[in-house]
Formats: sequence, structure tokens, C-alpha cells
Amino acid sequence: MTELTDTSWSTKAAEPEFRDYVELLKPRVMRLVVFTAAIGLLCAPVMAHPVIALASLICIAVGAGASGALNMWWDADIDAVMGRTAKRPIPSGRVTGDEALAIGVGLSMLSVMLLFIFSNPLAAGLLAFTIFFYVVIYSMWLKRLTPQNIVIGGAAGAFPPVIGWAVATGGISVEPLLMFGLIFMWTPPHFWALALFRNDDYTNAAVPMLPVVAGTRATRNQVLWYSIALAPVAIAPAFTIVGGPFYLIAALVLNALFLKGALDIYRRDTEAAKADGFRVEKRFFGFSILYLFLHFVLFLVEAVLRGFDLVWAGWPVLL
Amino acid sequence: MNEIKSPDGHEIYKRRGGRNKAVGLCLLGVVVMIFAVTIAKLSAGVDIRGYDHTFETVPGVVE
Repeated sequence: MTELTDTSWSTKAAEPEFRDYVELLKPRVMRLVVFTAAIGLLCAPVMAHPVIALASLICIAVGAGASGALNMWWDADIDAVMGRTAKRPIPSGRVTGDEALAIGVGLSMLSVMLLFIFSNPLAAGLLAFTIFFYVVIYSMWLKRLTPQNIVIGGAAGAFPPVIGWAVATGGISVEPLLMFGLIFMWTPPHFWALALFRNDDYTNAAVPMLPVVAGTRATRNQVLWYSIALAPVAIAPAFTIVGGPFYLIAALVLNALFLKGALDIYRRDTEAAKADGFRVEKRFFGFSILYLFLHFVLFLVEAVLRGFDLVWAGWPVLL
Repeated sequence: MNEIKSPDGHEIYKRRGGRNKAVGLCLLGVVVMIFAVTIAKLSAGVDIRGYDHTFETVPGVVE
């Protein structure tokens, strides 16, 4: 009788729940992608139809999720040995790699095709390129090859506002390119700060992050240099049609604080960091998220002010 | 002796049922989204083409 009622074969791996599939799409990354794409779309000088805008944002979100699933499929081996990622659906055995691959490829094609139909070929082409860049260029090629993985791979995360702008206008101009530059230049100091206090994880997984390959001293130097290079890129949009005085004042304050944090990291060494549990690095990492979020909120504030015609006519638009 | 359970009541079927419902809702969402965009585009009168090319609205031209 025992044989007939034995149900031990029904492991979770055989029957994943829907939330396991959702987790495969990296919902936290999707939120950031939707947020920056929406800002790119709303700040554009041409207003897209609300239904088309919403449908396009859903396509962009699904495309981002699909690339997340493909990234998890490819990186399942290193995810399994890193504490931060060991509980992801594939290494924890809740979803198989083949399922992740099928979901990733299927949703990639669906999102690009629907964005093509809903908006325009440029936006769809940019979404397709972003998925390709994140999966093939970053995940498959650069991530395990070079400590510059984050620098070049950061472009994948920087495309969403450009796609949003392209949905609204059908083109690209200097404003979305500066939004791209802001995310692109922000990515290295953000992830290197994380890598400084997650160094053991990356070492165990043999991922050549900068602290693993070049050491923590070089990483601290690079965090500072990239933060210095980031500041002008972050402030420049103030002098375009998406910026204004509010953006300028807030961007100056945010970049001064960012540089102060990077300088604090630069002045420390690993011994000091270990002594206080990487307090400065963790604080900088947390602030870097707020820094990027507030820059895009400022774009939105300026767009709302323009919507109510509350703009200073004498504001210099130089770019 | 172990108690005999109905297979339909087992956790695996509940999990599969829940997943199927969620996937069904997502597919319904896609259908609604395509319908809504179709209505929005038709209302704007842009680039409507019949399969037999008998009906066509050129963007910017109001008949």
C-alpha cells in the first residue's frame, strides 16, 4: 500500500510555482528599468498616447525580465556558489535551466515583436539590442573574462530611458544620450562599492571583478576616478530641454555627496574597512541607489513644471 | 497502513493549478493590451491598411 501512496517523487523542482517564474525575471531590476524608461518617455517633447505608452512600458519590462531569465540560465553555475544568488530559482532547484532558457527566449521575442507593433522600429530595435547586449556581450562574454565587465556591461542597464524616449519621439537626441551616460558612468562605482564588501563571493565564483583581479586598492582608486568623471555627465542635463534650475541645484548637491562618499572610500584601506564591517562602502552603495533614483525624479519634476508652463524663459539650454 | 489520498488533492496539483491560472491571466492581459492599443491606434486614425488594400488611411490626411 505504501508504494501506491508514496508521493515523494513530487519534488518542488518538478512543479515550480508561478512566483518562481516571476523571480526568474529579476523583478527588482525590472522596477528600475520601468522607472527609468518611464522617465525617458515622459520627459520627451512629444507625448505618446497613454495606452501606447503603458503597453510599451510593459514590453520594455518584459524584455528586461527576459534578459534576466537568460542571465540566470547562463550564470546558474556561479550563482550557486555565491551567497547573494544561491537562493535564485535555478541554483535552488525550483526551476530547471531549460525552462529558464525557454521563458527567456520566448519573452524576448514576444516583447520585441509587440513593441515593434505598438510603437516604432527604433524602440523595438533598441530593446532587442539591449537584450542581446546584456545576455551575450555582458553575461556570456565579458562577465567571466575581464574586470571591465561592469564598465562595458553597464550599457545594458543604461538603455531603458533611451528606449522610452524613442517610444515617444521615434528618434534619439542628446537628452536621452545624457540619461544613458548618467547610468553608464554610475554603474562602475555602484558595483565596485558592492564588490568591495562582497569580495569573497566573487572570489569563490572566480568572477574577475576588479577587487579580485586588481586588488581593493585599485578598486578604491577607480571608484573615485569614475565618480569624478560621473559628475559632469550628471550635471550636464541641467542645460538641456529636460533640465532646469531645480535639476542643477539638486544635481550639484547629489554629486558633491557622491564625491564625498567616493573620497571616503579612496582614503580607507581593507583593514580599516574590515574593522567597522565595511560601513563606509555599504553606506556609499546605498546612497548610490538613492543618487540615481533622485536624478530621475528630478527629470520628472522638471517635466511636470514644463507641463504647467512653470519654466524660467531665460534658462540657458546649451545642449 | 497509510491513508489513501485523492491524487487531485495533492500539493503538486494545487501548485500546477495555481500556475496555470496565473499564466492564463497573463495571456488574457496580453489580449486586452493588444485590443486596447488597436483601439487607441484606430482612434488616432494612423496607418490603417486593409489586407486587400481596399481601405487605407494615410497619416495626416483627414477624409
